[in-house]
Amino acid sequence: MGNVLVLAEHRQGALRDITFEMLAVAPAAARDLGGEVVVLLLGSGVDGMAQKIAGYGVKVLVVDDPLFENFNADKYQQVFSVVIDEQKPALVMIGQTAQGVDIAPALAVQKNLPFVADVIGLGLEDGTLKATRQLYSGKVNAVVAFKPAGTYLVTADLREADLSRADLRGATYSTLSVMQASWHAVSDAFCTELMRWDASANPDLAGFDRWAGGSDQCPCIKHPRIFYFNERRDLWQPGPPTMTLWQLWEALAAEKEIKI
Amino acid sequence: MKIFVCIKYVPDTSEAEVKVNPEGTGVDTGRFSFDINDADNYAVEESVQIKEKSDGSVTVLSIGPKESEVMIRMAMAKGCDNAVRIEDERIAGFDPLMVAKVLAGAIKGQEFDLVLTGCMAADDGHMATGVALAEELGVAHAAMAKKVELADGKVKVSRELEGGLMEVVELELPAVITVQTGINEPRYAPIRGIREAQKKELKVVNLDDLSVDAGAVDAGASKIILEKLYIPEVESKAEVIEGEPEEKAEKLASILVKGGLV
Repeated sequence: MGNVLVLAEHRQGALRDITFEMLAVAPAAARDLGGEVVVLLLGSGVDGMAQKIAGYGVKVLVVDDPLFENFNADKYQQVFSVVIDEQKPALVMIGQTAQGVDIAPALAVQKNLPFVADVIGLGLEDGTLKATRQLYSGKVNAVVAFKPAGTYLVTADLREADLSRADLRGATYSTLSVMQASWHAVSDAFCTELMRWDASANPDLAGFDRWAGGSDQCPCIKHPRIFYFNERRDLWQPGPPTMTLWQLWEALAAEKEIKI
Repeated sequence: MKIFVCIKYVPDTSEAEVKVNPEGTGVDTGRFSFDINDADNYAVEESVQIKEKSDGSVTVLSIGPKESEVMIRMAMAKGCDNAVRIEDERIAGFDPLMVAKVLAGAIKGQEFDLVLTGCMAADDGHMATGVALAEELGVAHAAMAKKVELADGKVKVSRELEGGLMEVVELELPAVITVQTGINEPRYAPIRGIREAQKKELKVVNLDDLSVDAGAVDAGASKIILEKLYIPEVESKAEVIEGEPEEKAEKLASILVKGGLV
């Protein structure tokens, strides 16, 4: 067993929804498989996207090269081939999208991987990885079991899945799982550092003081982490962050005993 | 221009309720009419149009029962030149990778410039067979084509992406292209074409005829097991939020937060 490798999909400078949908279910799959979530991001000038993904508390493998300025199925497949050989992930998760369907089946053939397309749910049952997928335009669901292998490959279509109960066979998936797994139950010092990090990216620094004093909502109200910060606003201490984003991630990994 | 077009015989379940057998191992398709998979119909039309512009031939390739010959003959009535129907119970038809291997076995060793097929089957909806076939054949591919243009030994393919965006890729020939519905306007088969189609060659072969090792494409070779089929529960529930506007907003915000939507 091992990590879950997720392909970050982006277009015209923005991450696509499928990336976040996969990030929502991948942690549960990673826990099942005894690994962690690793996101593969291919592109040119994608540092901002990498940081955004890293903000979800997952490791990001970035290939930042002009070669990847535009999507190219062959080049993506070549990179995947190398990453699969080197990282040996337990599960590779690609979106069931125009990009995904152009890569995944060829990759499955090339690497001789067990492959299930258009998966809406995923779970481990008695040590066997099982995928749920739709047939006949969603009128029938199929449960497909993977035979034992080193690496499994799925394309995921999570648009119509209830992400809070995506595994139709009993495991619990939640859209909150990424945030819960990453940002709650961290130490006070780490939480303060995290608040400073978010505050540093927000022009309304004084807003954090007002929020901590209870007179205003947090300037980062749209950031999902704020729901955990709200419970711990007494930890707010003004000041610049002392860690880089990578150090922050390493510290999180250390706190949660995740091996990088 | 030598073209193969891969088509599938599928039940028309678009307007009907689908029932799974009590064992959960299959769908009761006895009540349905079968016909060519919708996207494959467009692939047939595209193949014939390319042939008409560039001369050459189109061979229909299909895995299916004897009943599917009606569909195959209809494709030939529209302009395809000959056909190969593969029938072999040993093929693990639920696994698109196994299907791709069989189709590749039927094409390998023959000269070809293009393989066209629909981008998705209406029954299993994998959207995988065409691209897997390209990899098996070791040729370039493009999925979800909305426009195909041939020039100077290359093919320019416009792919439709989500949100209505188009992506244009250029491929060296030979290549495999999976086409979307709407790429063209499929023709009706003319009466004369239907008559002529009866005389065109339709070979029926099995895995042994194709020299495809059954042990490489059967359920034992597949790395997945179709374990169970079931009808998903249909959930439709609406919650009416009552109260003053401020209370409603608070309740709505709470629901959104709990659902992880904000």
